[in-house]
Amino acid sequence: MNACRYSENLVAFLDEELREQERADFQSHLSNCQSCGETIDQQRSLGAALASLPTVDPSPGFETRFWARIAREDQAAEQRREQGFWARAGWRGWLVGLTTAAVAAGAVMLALRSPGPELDPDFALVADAEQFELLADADIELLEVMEILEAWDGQEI
Amino acid sequence: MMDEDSRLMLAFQAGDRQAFEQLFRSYTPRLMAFLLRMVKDRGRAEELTQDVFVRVYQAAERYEPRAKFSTWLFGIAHNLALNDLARAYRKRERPLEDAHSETTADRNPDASEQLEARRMTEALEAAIGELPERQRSALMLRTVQGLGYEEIGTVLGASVSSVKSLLHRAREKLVSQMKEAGR
Repeated sequence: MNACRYSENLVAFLDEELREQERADFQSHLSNCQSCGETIDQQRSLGAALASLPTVDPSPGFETRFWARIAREDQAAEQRREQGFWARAGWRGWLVGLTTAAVAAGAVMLALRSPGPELDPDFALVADAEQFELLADADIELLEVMEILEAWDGQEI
Repeated sequence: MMDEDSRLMLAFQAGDRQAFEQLFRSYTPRLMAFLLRMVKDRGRAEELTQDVFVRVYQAAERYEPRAKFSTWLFGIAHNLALNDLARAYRKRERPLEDAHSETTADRNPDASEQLEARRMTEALEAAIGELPERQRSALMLRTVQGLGYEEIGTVLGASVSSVKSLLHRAREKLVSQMKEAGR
């Protein structure tokens, strides 16, 4: 170990991190200090060894795993944004949302019950052609039984 | 003057995803090298490298180029490595994997003239692994990443004179241990 009291500047000298005056002082010190001269050589060898340390390549699939994480991150961010909207809206937002949903549900129910000319039964009642056919051929007795069951289901026992 | 990588980060902030991909590809090997020598476990180093970029990705909206991009990036990496080391310490887990397993050097044929160089590299890696955490961080940030003293100080939360002292002590220890290994 270098016991010279200037030796702490040695590494900074090699790294070119000394200020101009410090550098000049250390250079003039070097010409008189054998200990620091020897240490400089050792440190240069060490610097070369450190510079030649092997590079580290990630294992196969590293990038694929990373982009999959980013995709999950995007998804989570989207969820956070949605949750954030409702959190910011507070109870008033929920109230507005629920009221809107209730009004929409009521409108649909009303539309189902009123056979006005503006109602398109195919659109309102069925999701696809298969269901439409099923309903078109529906047994009237079966529909009556369903109505009775629905009415019974609504009563408290 | 803003560095090129900060510009890329700002481009990503403005919606250019390729800019982020460019940063990811360019910094992955250096981050891996730094983190592997910090946590001494290849699997954890890979995981932490990904963690760093996930943080960068998450922080894009808030990013402001106050320092060089590399200083900011290695600051995140350093903090994550410290957290990981603290977790491992609490669990009393000792990293089992050799720091340089499966490195580029390992894929070279075991020619006889390479054995001595390889032995010295192993000794150097082991000596780096024995350094106190802050000395090791400072050394890796300087030699592997090429950060300046001021940048290292920003990453470690230390003054420039402390960085100078950390590097001086780290290198003295390494020289001393390499001399022993060479005997």
